Amino acid sequence: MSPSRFALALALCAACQPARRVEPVTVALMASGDEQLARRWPAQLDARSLGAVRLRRAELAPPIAEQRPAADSAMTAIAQAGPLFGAADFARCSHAFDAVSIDGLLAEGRRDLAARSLLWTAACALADERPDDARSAADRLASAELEVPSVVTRPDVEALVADALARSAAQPRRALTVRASTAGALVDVDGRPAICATPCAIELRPGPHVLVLRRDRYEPAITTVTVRAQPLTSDVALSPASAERASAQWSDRARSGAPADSAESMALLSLATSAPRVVLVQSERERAGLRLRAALAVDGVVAARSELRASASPTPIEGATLLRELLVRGRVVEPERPVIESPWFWVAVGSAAIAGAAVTTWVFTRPVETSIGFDGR
Amino acid sequence: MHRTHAAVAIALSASLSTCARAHSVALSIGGPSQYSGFTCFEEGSASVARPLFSRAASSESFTVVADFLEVPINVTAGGDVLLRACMNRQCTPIPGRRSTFTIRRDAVTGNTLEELGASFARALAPWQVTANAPDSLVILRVVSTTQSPDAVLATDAGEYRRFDRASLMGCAISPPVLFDSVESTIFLALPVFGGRCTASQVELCASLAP
Repeated sequence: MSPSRFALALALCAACQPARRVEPVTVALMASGDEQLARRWPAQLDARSLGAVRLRRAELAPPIAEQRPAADSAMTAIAQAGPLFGAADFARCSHAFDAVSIDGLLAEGRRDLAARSLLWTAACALADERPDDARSAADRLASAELEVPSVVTRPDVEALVADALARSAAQPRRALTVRASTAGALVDVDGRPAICATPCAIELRPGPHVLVLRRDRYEPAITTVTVRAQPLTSDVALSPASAERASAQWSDRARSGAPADSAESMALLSLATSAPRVVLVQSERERAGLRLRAALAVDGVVAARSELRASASPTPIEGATLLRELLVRGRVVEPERPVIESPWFWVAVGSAAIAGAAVTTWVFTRPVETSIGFDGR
Repeated sequence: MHRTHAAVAIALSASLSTCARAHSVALSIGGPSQYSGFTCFEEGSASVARPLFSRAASSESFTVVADFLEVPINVTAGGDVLLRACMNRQCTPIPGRRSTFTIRRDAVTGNTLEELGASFARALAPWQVTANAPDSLVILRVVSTTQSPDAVLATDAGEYRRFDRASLMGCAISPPVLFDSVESTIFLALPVFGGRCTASQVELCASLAP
């Protein structure tokens, strides 16, 4: 093959390489320990340092506020019950608890308010000559094994409650198997937290019970089951948490001292920031500079971790080094291809070889123009 | 930027492909122990012989003709062997390479043969036989004649006429040489078979080819 054809083949080879189209990838950045990093780096690290990666500051969704509607209504009703009972207005005393949800109170974990509400309900109903309602309230108090409040009512009410407790105690506990759509959900039973983790079996007194299943990354699930003589299984479906719920759960984990870059925390952070790719950089001050630890979660799963000992005030170069290594490990971006894999490198090498061969050939074979003349002697 | 680079590359390639190495070779008449071929005599006894130069006595000028003769054999032998080979028509002039030079007769003067030869050599000095010598092994033959340049140039058929024997004044040849490789002076001489250079030997030299 002649040198010119070889060069042409090289050029065609290079031209035939499919052009690699690089889609920009957005990565959310959160920093703990040095909040300034999350502000500075997205502005400092641009395409020159991170290629096709667009860095933005991760924003947590506003944490969902815990609502306690049952507790609020129960406290109102309890506050009214004493005076009404003292004034012998038993009918209004009973109706004061119409809006109070015992299931709601147990779901909110307010066993104390649930116990007081049931005791007042029993007392008011008994005084209002509605013994069935009074017995029902006392039975619920007993089956949920609530602590009976030391509220002085009347002897007949205390006798009713004591009878309910005795009857409940006389019945054997029954098995309840709790299963959830995801394993590991903690089960609160009648306001008592974390009795077990799904799938699990618990033994309860016959009667209605409130189960609350909690699992990070999922919305809490509340269900009421009535335990009877036969063993019972409760299947509960958990739905994915909203960004606001995940934000609250992530904050709770951070407050509890759990590692912020654990797999579970990073999954929560992904949800809470609504970012498919999120980087958490934690900085710890050391004797000389900072120790930066970074974790990358892609679609909620930790894809890579990286660590760097940086200067006291990390420079953009240090930031780019840390993040690029992290993103390459996490396969968010491709590593820089060695120059030897570039077709243009081989085009250059081929061209240089051809040029060298041409020059060498020319040096040895260039034409000679010889002029001939007489020297005059 | 790319256009500039491309232009530079093209210019470089063009210069590489066209730039030739300049080289020059000097010719000298006669050799340390050779007859020059231009100080020969008419046939006859030594006492009455006239130099061939006298053939131009009635002319204002004479012509010097240079031919490059192709050497078809790998000649390593001396000049006489070569001369014999060329006598057998094994040497042919390269078409289109004949070169002529006109010299005024009065430019060549001298009282002795040596002075005549030296004067002839000085007269040849302005003549550049060629600016680009053949790239092959050749013999350079230089003939002086009273014929005009037109008379010795190629015919319409591209052939050279034979030199007019009576007009010949001298002839000398070089050894077989590749001029592109030569770094020293090339001597032109006429190998003679007798002890004296005569017209017949000049005629023989001039008739080597065609």
